Amino acid sequence: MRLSIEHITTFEYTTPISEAYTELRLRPLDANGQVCLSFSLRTEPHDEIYGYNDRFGNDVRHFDTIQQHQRLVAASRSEVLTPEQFVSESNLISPLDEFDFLMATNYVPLTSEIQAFAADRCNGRDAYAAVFALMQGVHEVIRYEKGATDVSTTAAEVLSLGRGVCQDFTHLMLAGCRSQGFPARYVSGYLYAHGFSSATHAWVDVYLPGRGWISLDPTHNTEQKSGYVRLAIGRDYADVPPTRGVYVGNAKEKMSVWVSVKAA
Amino acid sequence: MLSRVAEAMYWMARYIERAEDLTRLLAVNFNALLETQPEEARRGWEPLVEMTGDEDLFYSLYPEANARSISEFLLWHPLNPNAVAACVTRARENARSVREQISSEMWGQINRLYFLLRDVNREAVLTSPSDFFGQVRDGSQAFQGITSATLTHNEPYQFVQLGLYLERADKTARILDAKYLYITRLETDSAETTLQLIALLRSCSAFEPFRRTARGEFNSLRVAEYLLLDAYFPRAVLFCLNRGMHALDMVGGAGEDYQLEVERPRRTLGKLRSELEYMSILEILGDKMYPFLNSLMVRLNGIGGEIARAYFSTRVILPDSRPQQQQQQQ
Amino acid sequence: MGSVLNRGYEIGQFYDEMFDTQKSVRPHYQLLHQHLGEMSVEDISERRKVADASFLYQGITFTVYGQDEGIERIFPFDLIPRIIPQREWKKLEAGLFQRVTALNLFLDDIYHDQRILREKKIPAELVFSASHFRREMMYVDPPKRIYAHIVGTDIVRAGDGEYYVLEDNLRSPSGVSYMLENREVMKRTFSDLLARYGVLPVEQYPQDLLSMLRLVAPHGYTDATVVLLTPGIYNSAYFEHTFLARQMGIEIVEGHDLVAHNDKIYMRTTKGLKLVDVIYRRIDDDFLDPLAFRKDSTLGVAGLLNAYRAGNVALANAIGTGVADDKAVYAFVPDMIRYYLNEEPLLNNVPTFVGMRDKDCGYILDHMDQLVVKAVNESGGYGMLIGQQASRKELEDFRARVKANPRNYIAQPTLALSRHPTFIDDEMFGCHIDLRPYTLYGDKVTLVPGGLTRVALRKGSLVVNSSQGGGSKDTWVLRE
Repeated sequence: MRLSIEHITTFEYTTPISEAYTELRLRPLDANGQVCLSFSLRTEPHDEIYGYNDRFGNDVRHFDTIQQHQRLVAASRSEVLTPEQFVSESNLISPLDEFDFLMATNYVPLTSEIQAFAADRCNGRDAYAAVFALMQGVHEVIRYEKGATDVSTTAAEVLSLGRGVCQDFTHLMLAGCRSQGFPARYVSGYLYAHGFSSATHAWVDVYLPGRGWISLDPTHNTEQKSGYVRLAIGRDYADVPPTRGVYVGNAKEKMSVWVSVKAA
Repeated sequence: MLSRVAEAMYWMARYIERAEDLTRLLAVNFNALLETQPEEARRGWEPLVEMTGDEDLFYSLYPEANARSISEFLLWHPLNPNAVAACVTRARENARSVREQISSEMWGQINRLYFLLRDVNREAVLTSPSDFFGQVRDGSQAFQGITSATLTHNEPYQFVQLGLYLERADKTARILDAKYLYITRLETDSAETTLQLIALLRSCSAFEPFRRTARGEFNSLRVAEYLLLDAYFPRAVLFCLNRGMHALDMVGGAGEDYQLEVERPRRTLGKLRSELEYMSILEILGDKMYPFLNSLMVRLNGIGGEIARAYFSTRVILPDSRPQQQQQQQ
Repeated sequence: MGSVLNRGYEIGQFYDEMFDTQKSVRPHYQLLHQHLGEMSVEDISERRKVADASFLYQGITFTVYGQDEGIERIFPFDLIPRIIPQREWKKLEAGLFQRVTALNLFLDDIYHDQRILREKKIPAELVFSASHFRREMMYVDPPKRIYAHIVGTDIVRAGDGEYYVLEDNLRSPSGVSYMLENREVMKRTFSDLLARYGVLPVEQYPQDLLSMLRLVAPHGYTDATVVLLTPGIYNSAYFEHTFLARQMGIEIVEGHDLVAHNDKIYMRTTKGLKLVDVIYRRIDDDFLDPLAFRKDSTLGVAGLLNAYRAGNVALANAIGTGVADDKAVYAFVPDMIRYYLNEEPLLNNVPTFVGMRDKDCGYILDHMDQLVVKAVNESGGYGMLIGQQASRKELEDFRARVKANPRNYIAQPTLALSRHPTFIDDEMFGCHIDLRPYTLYGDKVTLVPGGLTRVALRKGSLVVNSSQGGGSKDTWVLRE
C-alpha cells in the first residue's frame, strides 16, 4: 500500500528559551518489506539537520536551536510503500539483540503477575501458537481507553488497571513474551485507518527460534498487515520516541502533534 | 577567555564596588546628619533610600527613614538584594566560581570581607557604626589594590576594570542625582548648603581633591561639574568612562564574524564619553540636570546590557535569513 | 635522641618491601636505610612539617565541602619512598602494556563485531548486563579506534613476592597529581638521595598526556584545541583537574561553557564560539549529555554524544570504557589477552570468584568469612566486605546481598598485601601498600615510571583510599 504521511510536532514555551536540542525518529524504515520512497524534514526556526542510524537501525535526525525562540516546529513528510504483511529478513538474532529483547526494563518489568498471566496463556503450546495466544490474551484483558494511563505507565500497571492505549498494550505484550523466553521488540509507527484521524501506533515483533521475526498488534489482535507503517524499533518506548529533546530555560514546554496518513 | 569567567570577573568587581560605594555613602551621611535636628535629619536620609531605587521595599519594612533603619536596610537586611552584605556574598560567589583564575591573595581578601560582614555583632554596629563602615571600605579598597597588584593585566583583568568603572560611574551619578535636589532647594550660601555639599563630596571621597582644584568656588554647580566631568578624579563619571573605554580597547576585537556585536558597547560607551568630554556644565544647569542624570544612568545600564550580549552570551551566526525551505532528503 | 631506626620494627607475616625474611635490608633499599639511620626522629618530624606545609601552600588538597567554606585536606603523605628496581619495573611495564592493549582491543570488539562473545570466550550476558556497557556506542568509531587513553591499574604485591593486578580503572582514573607533587616534595626533602639513586623522572607526564590527547584529534588536525571538562569546584578531585589543566596549558571548562552546534562542540568565549577538538573529560558517562544519558544532569553538554558519533570531537577516555571497570569483567582480562594477542598474561590477576557463575557463587556464600567480597562497580573501598574482619551480622547481610544479585558481586581470597616502612606519629611501622601506575595509550603505549603508591595509614588496615584513612608515598623506579 502506498501511503503519504505528514507529521508536525510543535513545541511552545511559556517564555522564550535560548537553547533546545531535538531528536526525531520519523523516517519510515527500509526493512521487513517496507520501502521509504521519500522523506523530508523542515524546522522553524530554520536549523541544520543532522542524522545517524542508532544501534537498532532506526533513522535518527537531530538539530540544535541555539537562538531565542518561543515556538519550535518540526514537520516531516514521507511517502512509503508498505507490504501486505511483515517480511522477516533473517532467522538469526545477534547476541546483543537477544539479550536486549529479553531483558526487563522500567516499562517492561517481569513481575510474577505478568509471568503467571503469560504462562497461563501460552500453556503448553508450541512457540508460534503460544505467542498468538498471548496476543489474544492481552487483547482480552485490556480495554482500549485513553486517559487512564500516561506516557510513563509500566506493563505491570497496565495489567492491574486493565485499560490503556496502544503503547500500553505493547508494553504488556512485550512483558508477556519476554517472561516466556521469547525475545520481543517494540515497534513504533503509524496505522493507516481508512477515514479515521490518524495517530502514531505501537505494536510488537516477536522472535521465534528457527523461524525469525513475526509482527503482532495486540491492540487489534492481528498480525501486522497492510497499512502499518514502521518508524522505529527498540526495547520499549524509551528507545523509539518520535521526538525527544532537552532545552535550557525556566519556561514550561507544551508539545502538540498533528499526524495525517493518507493513501497516496 | 571563557565567557563564564569573564562574566564572573566583571560581576565580582561590580559587586565589590557597589558594596564599597554604599558603605561610603552610609558613613558620610551618618556623620553629616549626626548634628542636625531630627526633622532635618530625616530629610537628609530620605534621598538615600531614593538613590538605591528600593524605596517601595524600604517603606514596606520600616515606618520611617532614620540612621538606624537605613543602616540596617542598606547593610544587611535579608530582603534587600542590594544590601552591602548581599553584594559581598555575591562577589564572593563569583570569585569562588573562578577561584583558579584569581590570585590567592584576592581570594583571601574577599573571604576576609565576607567573614567580616557575616560575623560582626550587628547590634553593636547599628548603635555605633563608624568604625565598621571604615573597615568595610578599607576591605574593599584593599581588594582592588590587591587585584591590581596580583592579577595579570590581560583579558580577565580588563573585565574586572570594566565592571568596577561602570559600577562606579553609575554610583556617582546616582549619588549626585539623589543629593542634588535636596541641596539646590536649600538657601544658597547657607551653612546648611555648605555642609551638604561637603557631605555630597565626601560621599564620593571627593572633598579634599575638590578643594585642591584651581577653582575653589564652592557651589553646587562646581561640585556637580567636578563629579561628572573631571578627567582626573578617580570617581568622576568621565574618568570612569575613560577607564572603561580603555578596558574595552584592551579586550580587543573579536573574530571577523563577531565584529558587529562587539562594536556596539564600544560605540555607545565612546559616544557617551565624548559627550561628557566636550560638555560644559553650563549646558545642564538648573532643571536640565535631572533629565541629564537620568539619561546618563539609563545609558550606563544600556552599556552593561550590550557588554553582556557582546561578550557573555552565546552568539550564533545565522545562515542567510531569507526564508527557505530546509529540506533534508533521504 | 635516637635514630628513627632504633625503634623495634616488626615485619610480621608479610612481605616487607625494605626487609627480607632475615631482616636484612634488600639491596635496592640499602642507601635509603643508611640515610634514615643518619636521621633523628626530630629530623624526620621537621621534614614532615615542611612537606605538609609545601602541599598546603601549593594547594595540593582534596576538598570536603561543608557549610560555607570547603575544608581542604591534604592527602596524607609519607616521606619514606617506595623503591622499585629496574628489572622488576620492566616486568610490570611489559605486563601493563599487554593488559592495556588487550583492554582496548576488547572494547573495540564489543562495540563492533563482538567476536570474543560470539566465540564464547567471555559470557555475553556478563558484558551486556554491565551497568557501564553503553549501547549508544555500538558501531561508533572513536578516533584511531582508541577507547582507553588513560588507564590507572591497581597493583599489589602478595605474600609470595609477586605482583598481581587488583583492578583496572578506565573511567577517569585520578591520583596522578599526587604522584607529580609527591616527587616535587621529595626533590626538596631528599634531593641528595634522589640523585645518588638515579631515579627515573615522572614530570613529563603532563606533556606525554597532552601529546597523546592532541594525537587523537578528529580529522587529523595537528593544531587541535584540547580542553579538560570538569564537574566543577564541588567535585572532590577538582584540584587535580585544575592542576593538570595548568600543567598542560589547556583550558579547563565546565559543561555550560560548551555548546553543541551543528554537530560540533564549541566553547563559549568572549570572542564568540571557539571550536573544540578534544575533550579530556573527568565526568562520568551518565552525566556527560542530558540528551543522550541522564536528563537531569547539569554537568554535561546536550548533543555531545551526537558530535562524538559524527567524528567531530574526540573524548578521552571514550564513552563506554566503564564496562571494563566492572570487577566481574576484570576476571576475564587474562582471557582477553589470550584471545586478542595470542599470549599468556605477563601480569596475573588475583584469583577471582565471579558471582554470576553458579559454582563460584556457591563458593562465595560458603566461604565468605575467608574472602574479600566486592560489589562490581563500587570504588573507594565502599561496597566491600573483608570476611576475616567482619562480624556475623555483616556476613549475613552480605550473604543476602550476594544471593539477591549474584551478578553484582565477586570475591577474592584475602591477600597478604606487602608492607612498607611508614611513619605513623614519628614511629616506623610496616603499613600495607599498593601501586597505581598510569598507562597512556596513544600511537604508542607509555607508562610513567612509578605511579602512586598508596598506603594504609591506620595500623593493621588494608584500606588505602583517601576517603578512608589512606595516604601516599613517592615511588622511585631506578634506572638500574
